[in-house]
Amino acid sequence: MSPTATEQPSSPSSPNPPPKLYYVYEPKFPGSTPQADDYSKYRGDENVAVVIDNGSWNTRVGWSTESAPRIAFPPICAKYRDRKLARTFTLVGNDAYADSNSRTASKNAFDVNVVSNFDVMENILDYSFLKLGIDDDEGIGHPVVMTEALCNPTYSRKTMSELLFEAYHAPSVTYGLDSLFSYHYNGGNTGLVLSSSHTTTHLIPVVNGKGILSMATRLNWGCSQAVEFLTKLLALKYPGFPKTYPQQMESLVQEHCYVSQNYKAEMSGYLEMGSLDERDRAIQFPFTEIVKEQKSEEELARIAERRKESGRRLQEQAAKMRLEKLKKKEEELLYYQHLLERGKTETKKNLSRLLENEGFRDEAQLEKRIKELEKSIRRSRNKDLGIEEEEEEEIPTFPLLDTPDEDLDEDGIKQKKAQRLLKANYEARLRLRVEKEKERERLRLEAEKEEERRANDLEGWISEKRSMRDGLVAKLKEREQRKTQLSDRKSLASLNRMKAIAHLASDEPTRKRRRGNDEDTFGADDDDWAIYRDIATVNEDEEEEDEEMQTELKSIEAQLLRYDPNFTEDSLQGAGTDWSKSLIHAFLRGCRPFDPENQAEANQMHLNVERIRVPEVIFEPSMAGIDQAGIVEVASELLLNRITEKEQRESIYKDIFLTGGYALFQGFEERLRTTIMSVLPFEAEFGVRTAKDPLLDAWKGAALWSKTNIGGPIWEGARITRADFDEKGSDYIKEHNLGNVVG
Amino acid sequence: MAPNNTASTALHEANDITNASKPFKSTTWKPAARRNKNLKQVLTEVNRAQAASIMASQVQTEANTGDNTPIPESTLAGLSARASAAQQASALQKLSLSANQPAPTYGNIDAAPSLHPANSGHWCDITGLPAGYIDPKTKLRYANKEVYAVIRGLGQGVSDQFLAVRGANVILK
Repeated sequence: MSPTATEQPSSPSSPNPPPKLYYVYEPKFPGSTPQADDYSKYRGDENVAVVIDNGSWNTRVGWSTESAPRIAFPPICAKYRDRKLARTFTLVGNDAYADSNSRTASKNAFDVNVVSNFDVMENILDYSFLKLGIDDDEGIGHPVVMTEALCNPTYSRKTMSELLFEAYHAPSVTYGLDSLFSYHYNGGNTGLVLSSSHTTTHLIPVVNGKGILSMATRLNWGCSQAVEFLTKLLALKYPGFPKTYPQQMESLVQEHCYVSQNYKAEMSGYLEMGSLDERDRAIQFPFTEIVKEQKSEEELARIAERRKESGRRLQEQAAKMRLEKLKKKEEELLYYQHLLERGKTETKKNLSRLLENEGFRDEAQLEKRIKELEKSIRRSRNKDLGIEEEEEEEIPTFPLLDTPDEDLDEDGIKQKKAQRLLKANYEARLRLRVEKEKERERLRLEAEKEEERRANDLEGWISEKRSMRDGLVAKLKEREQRKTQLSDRKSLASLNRMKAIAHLASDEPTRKRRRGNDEDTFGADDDDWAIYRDIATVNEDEEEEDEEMQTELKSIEAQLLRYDPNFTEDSLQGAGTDWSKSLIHAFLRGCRPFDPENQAEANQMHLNVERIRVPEVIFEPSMAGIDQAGIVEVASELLLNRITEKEQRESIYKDIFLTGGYALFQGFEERLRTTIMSVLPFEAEFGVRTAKDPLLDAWKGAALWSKTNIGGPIWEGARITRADFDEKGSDYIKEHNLGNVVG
Repeated sequence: MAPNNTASTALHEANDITNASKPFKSTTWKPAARRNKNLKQVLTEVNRAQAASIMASQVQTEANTGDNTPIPESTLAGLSARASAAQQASALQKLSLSANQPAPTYGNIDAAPSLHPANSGHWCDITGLPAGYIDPKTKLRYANKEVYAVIRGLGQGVSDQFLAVRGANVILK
């Protein structure tokens, strides 16, 4: 091998252990939710509220006096009809994931973060109250505290109130904002609530426990959009990959994505081969392996033996047949020889009759026949004994050719004609043989010369071969380019082609011809016909030529590979570049070679740049085509420009509070701290913190708020009673610190 | 069908709430017809109602100044129905200009577009790396010549899908 081949320890292929595989989440049914049996504790107690965190990711339901929600489930409902049983099933929440039928039939109650499908919502409420174990007649008998979207449209709230008051006879309903409840739970009083949840991101300044909704801002990006974004990216990264499920993508975002501290710097070096192993995550998707039957050595030996056996049998049979034939021929020979002997003693008349009986015309033919037989017997004997027989070719004679026609009878003339043909054939054969010999000699000489040249002047030889190779490569490339250009309608090559076609098809005499020379001279020059070659898009000649060039290229490359120390396998045409230096390979397949035959590897996705690219969108929404400013820009605009009072502003700096599912991304808080620091005034005092539980604190806050205030003035000022509903209409709300305002 | 068909049917039967007894629910409750509206429908209705009320109030004030001919009451009644989208939009604009702090609604709390061009970087559409170049033909951004070769080899319409990821694709209507 070439010496450079040994100098490649930098290739990461050898030292790398097999990659750590991450298995993708398999959608599975978590099991049914049991119905609570302790409702007796709360029955008839109007001071215990049912708290519902009505989020687009999960609905969480529980009692206000408890520290955690009783049930949490995705806000979906599958209503599907089993035709065999003639029965309609209504499955809510996780139960809808029971099997693929119900999963595909499931519908979400939410459109973005607003409840829009109230049929589903009604089922969700049914399910919630059932699972809480409520068994009161006509009405749930407990006040309801429910979260809703920031600036929930009136229609949605109105329909929800109608549902709660009319279908469930709720004594009162209080609406509040999930993010503000979460802030309340975490002891916040004045600060900026930054709630990035499933479908949206909200920024709400809070002063003295009251949300300033006039300054609230929404960014249309949340975890669900991130999942969608990743799905799109992966579909483009691995086109033709087997089907993936939204749940799988969700789990990928949850498990592997994180927020980069310095996006640009980290991204620039993300695909560096040397350290890619730390960042690249190989995700194994399920697949069914097509098992190729592996035969054991024993079996293989047996098969080989069997094959040999049958071969031997065939050989034996053939030998037997040959022997029989030989015997027959020998007998025949003996018989004919005997006939010849006898003929010598017989009269001429008898002899000719005898011969005629045997199918011979004269004695000469008999002799010829005997000669032929002898020859064939000898040949087959030699073959049996393994003797190579040097066939001495006898030079055929053409005796009749020299005799003039006048001396021949009609038969003779015929024979002479045949002989003349034979002679011509013979001579042509000879000529060809000589020519072949000459060509062989020439090639040999050439090879010798080349050998000599290579021995004497290796460098010159190499450079010559290299230039030949480069020429071929360039030519092939040019061909390729032309082909690609022809596929583009607007390229010069295709324009020229269209022009040529139009010219050929037109009946109008061209300008040139009109100028005098009236004759159509097309075809007078052989090169004229080349035009047809040029306008054909798929040219068979050209393809043949291409193939020839390819084979020539291969032979030259083989020679170069053998003698040129600088020509390695990597420099082969079409061998592709070294995968370990390929950016695309790193992007698609990580830091190990890829074997497309390997079923497991073909069903793997590599997450690398996506791990930071997906969560980054919240800082730069334009990356995902969202025409809004990033979260930091929105926050700084809010903090620096919209809040005008200096003292208020400074107290808000001190408590920037993160909640919602997005806050679970590793590094989110840290990144916000550094970037917000960079936009705040110099040495401004500020603090960033994350909710204790970014997912559940909204519910816990609502429960805490209800527990502490129930029956008090704040409670009364916030809740809509049945009387309010009847008197003031279904779209009536009361404004309070943690709720929406009248829009 | 799936081999676990009976098992999943049993699961469905166990979790089905269609016929579960719901004593807390009103027996007379009937949901309103067509109560499901998607967000877009809801928002358009909100907008229309708002614009109509503003227009009506404006028409009244304008009528009182005497600058133009007063509009009879009968015409006013039909105004909300006939108000064109353009009129509504301009009415809304006037409102947001006149009132110094409009009440927050679902429609107006959207964050504004970025005012700092520096905040939107150029990233390779294929690999996500910082991109130094733009392919003039497909308008895709790319990081290096290897990625460019990939872009050249993309099939028809695939480049548009890449553009669609960042919302830069051209949509013909």
